[in-house]
Amino acid sequence: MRRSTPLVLTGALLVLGLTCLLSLMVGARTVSPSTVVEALRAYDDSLTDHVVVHSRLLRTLAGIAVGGALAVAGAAMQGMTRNPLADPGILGINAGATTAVVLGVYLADASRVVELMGLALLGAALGTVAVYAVASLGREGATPVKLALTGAALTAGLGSVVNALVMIDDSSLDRLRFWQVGTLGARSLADISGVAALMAVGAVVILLTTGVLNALALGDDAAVGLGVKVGRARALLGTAVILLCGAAVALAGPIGFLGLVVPHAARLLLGGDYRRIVPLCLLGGPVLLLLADTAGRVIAPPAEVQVGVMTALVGVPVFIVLIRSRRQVGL
Amino acid sequence: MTLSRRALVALSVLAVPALASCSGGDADAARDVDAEGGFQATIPHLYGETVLEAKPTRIATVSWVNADTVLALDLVPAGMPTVTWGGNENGSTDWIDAKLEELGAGWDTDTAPVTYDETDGINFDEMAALVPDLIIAAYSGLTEEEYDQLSKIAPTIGPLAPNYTASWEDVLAAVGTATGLSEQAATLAEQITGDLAAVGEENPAIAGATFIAGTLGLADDSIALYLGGDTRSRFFTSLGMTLADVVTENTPDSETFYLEWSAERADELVSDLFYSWAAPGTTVEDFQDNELFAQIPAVADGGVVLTDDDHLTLSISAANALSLPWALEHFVPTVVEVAQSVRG
Repeated sequence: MRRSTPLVLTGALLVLGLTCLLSLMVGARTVSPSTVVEALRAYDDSLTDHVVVHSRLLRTLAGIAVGGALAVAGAAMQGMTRNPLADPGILGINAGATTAVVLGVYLADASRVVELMGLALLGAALGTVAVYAVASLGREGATPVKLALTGAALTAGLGSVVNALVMIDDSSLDRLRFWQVGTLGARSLADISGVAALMAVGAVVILLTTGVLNALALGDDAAVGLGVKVGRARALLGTAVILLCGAAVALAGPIGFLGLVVPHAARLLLGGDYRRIVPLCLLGGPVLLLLADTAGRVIAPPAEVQVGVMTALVGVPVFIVLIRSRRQVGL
Repeated sequence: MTLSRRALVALSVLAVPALASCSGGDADAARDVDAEGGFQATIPHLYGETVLEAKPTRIATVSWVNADTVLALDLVPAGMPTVTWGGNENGSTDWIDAKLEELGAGWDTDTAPVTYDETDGINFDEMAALVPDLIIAAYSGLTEEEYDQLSKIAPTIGPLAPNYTASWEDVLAAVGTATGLSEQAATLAEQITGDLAAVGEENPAIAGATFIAGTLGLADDSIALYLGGDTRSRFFTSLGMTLADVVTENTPDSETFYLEWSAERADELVSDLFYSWAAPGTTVEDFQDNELFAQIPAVADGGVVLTDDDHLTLSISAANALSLPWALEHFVPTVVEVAQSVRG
C-alpha cells in the first residue's frame, strides 16, 4: 500500500521534532523540563544542569547531521549500485575514510576536526576510486556483485592497516579508539557547522538527482535508454556520497547500519521511488540515530553506551527483518 | 574492525586493574626448604601447584611485572619480554635498566637478559630456545592452555589471580619462594610499603586527602573510574589517601574494578584529587576546557594529577617491587605538589 508522500514526510518531521526534544530532555543526569528550557533561553555556564543541556544540544545537532548524511548516502548507493545491501560500510568508503584519519593521527598528529575532515574525504574518495577501479577490471565491467566483493576485500585489508597502526603507536590508542566505534559526544559547534555545510552540498546534489537515481536503479541499459549519461551520473552521485560519508566519519567516527536500514524502512513506507525515499531518509536517519544515542545514555547507568554500538543493536534486528521480508525490499 | 590482541593487552594495563590480594597465591603457605635443608618450593596458583626440586638458575618471564620482580630480588632473568607499551628506547623501562646496570648486566653486556617480542602473544619458540628451568607468569592473563604449553618447556608459575589482577605483594612473595629468597622478599615488601606510607605520614596534605583514579577521554567525553581494587587506586591508598565515597558507593561488587561513568554526572565525582591517565601532551587545561569535565570539582579546582607519559603510567599501572620505588622518586613529588596546592 502506498501512503501519501506529503503525509508521511510531515509525520516524519513531527517525529524528528519529538526525537530532538527527547534527546535534549533525557540523559544520564535528570534535568527538569523547565531547566532545559531555561538553559536554552538563558545559558549560564556556572550551572552544571545548563552545561549538560548544552552538551546534549551539540550531540543532537551532530546526530541530525550525521544521521541524515548516512541515510541519504546509503539510499544513493543502493540505487547507484543496484545492490540492496549497499551501505557506506560495504563499498569501502568508511574504511577508506577511517584509514586516512588514523594515518593522519599517526603520522601527523592530526586532531582538529578540519584536518580530520580533509583526511576522511580524501580517504573516502581514494577508497571509492580503488573499489571502482578494481571492480571495473574484466570484460563485464563494474557489476554490483564485483563492487560489493571488492569493497569487502578493501574493508578487510584496510582494517588490518588500522590495527597495525594501533599496534605500532600505542600512545595514540586513546584517540584511535574513537575511530573504532562511533560517538556523537565531544564535538564543538564549529566542528558541527563546518561538517554540516559539506554534508548539505552532498545532500542537495542527491536530492536534485533522484530522477537519475530512479533510472540507474533500473539498470545501466535501461538508464541509457531513458537518456541518462550513466558515467557522468555515477561520478556526480559518487562525489556526493563521498562528501556525505567522509564528513560523517570525520564528525562521529564509523557508524554502521544506518545507511542500510533507513532507506529500506523508507522503501517499505513509500515504495521504490527515490524522489520519495531520499527526503524521507533525510528525516528518518536523524530520528534513528538520535533515538539510539538517547537510549545509549540511559540504558546502562552510570555508564553511557556509544551510539555506534547502539545503532548496531537497533540495526541488526531491523536488518534481519528486512532480509526475511525480501519481497518488499526489491529495488 | 576489532582491536588487535596486542591493543587489548595494552588496554588491559590501562583499564583492567589488579584486585586486592584476595585470591590465588597464598604464598605464605608455600614451603621453600624441605626438612633436610635441600631446596624444595611449592607455589600454588590458578592452574595448580608448581613444585621446584632445585633452585632455578635460568628464569624466563612473560607479561609485565614478573621480570621486574625477579630483578627486585637481585636476580637477572635469562629471558624477558620486550617492553613495548610505555617502554623506553631500549625496549625496557628506566627502572629495569638501572637495576641491570647495578647488577652488572646492562643491555650492552653478555649477561643481559635475552628479550623476546610478545606482540603476537606468548612467545613459545624463543622461550623454549632459552631452555629455562623456571617460567614466571604470576602476573599475567595466561590461559590454562598457554599454561599447559609453557609447562612443557619448564615448570611454570601460573597466574596468582585472573587476568592481570595479581597484586605486586603476592607476585613478590611467590617469586621469593620460588627462588629461595622468601626472607628478602618479605623484607623488601615491608620496606616498599613503609616508604609509600611515609609519604602520607610526612605530608599532611596527602594524609586523608580523598582521591579518584580514572581516565578522562577527551576524544569522546568518556569517563572511566578505577575502583578500590585497582592497582592505581591501591597506589594512592598506600600513600595514605582515601578513595572518594562516590567510587566506593558505586562499586557493584568486589570483582569489578573498573566503572564507566557518564560525563553528564561529572559533578558527582567529588574528591580532593583526580588522577587521570592521558595521551602524551595533554594538559590539565585541556580537561578544564571540556565543559563537562570542568564540572568535576577536582578538575575545576586544579586538583588533577596526570600521567601523560606512558612510561610513567606503566610504573603505577603495572606496579611492582621494582617500579614502585621508581614511582616514589619520579611521580610522588607531583602528587604531593598537587595535593598541597589544593589542600595547603
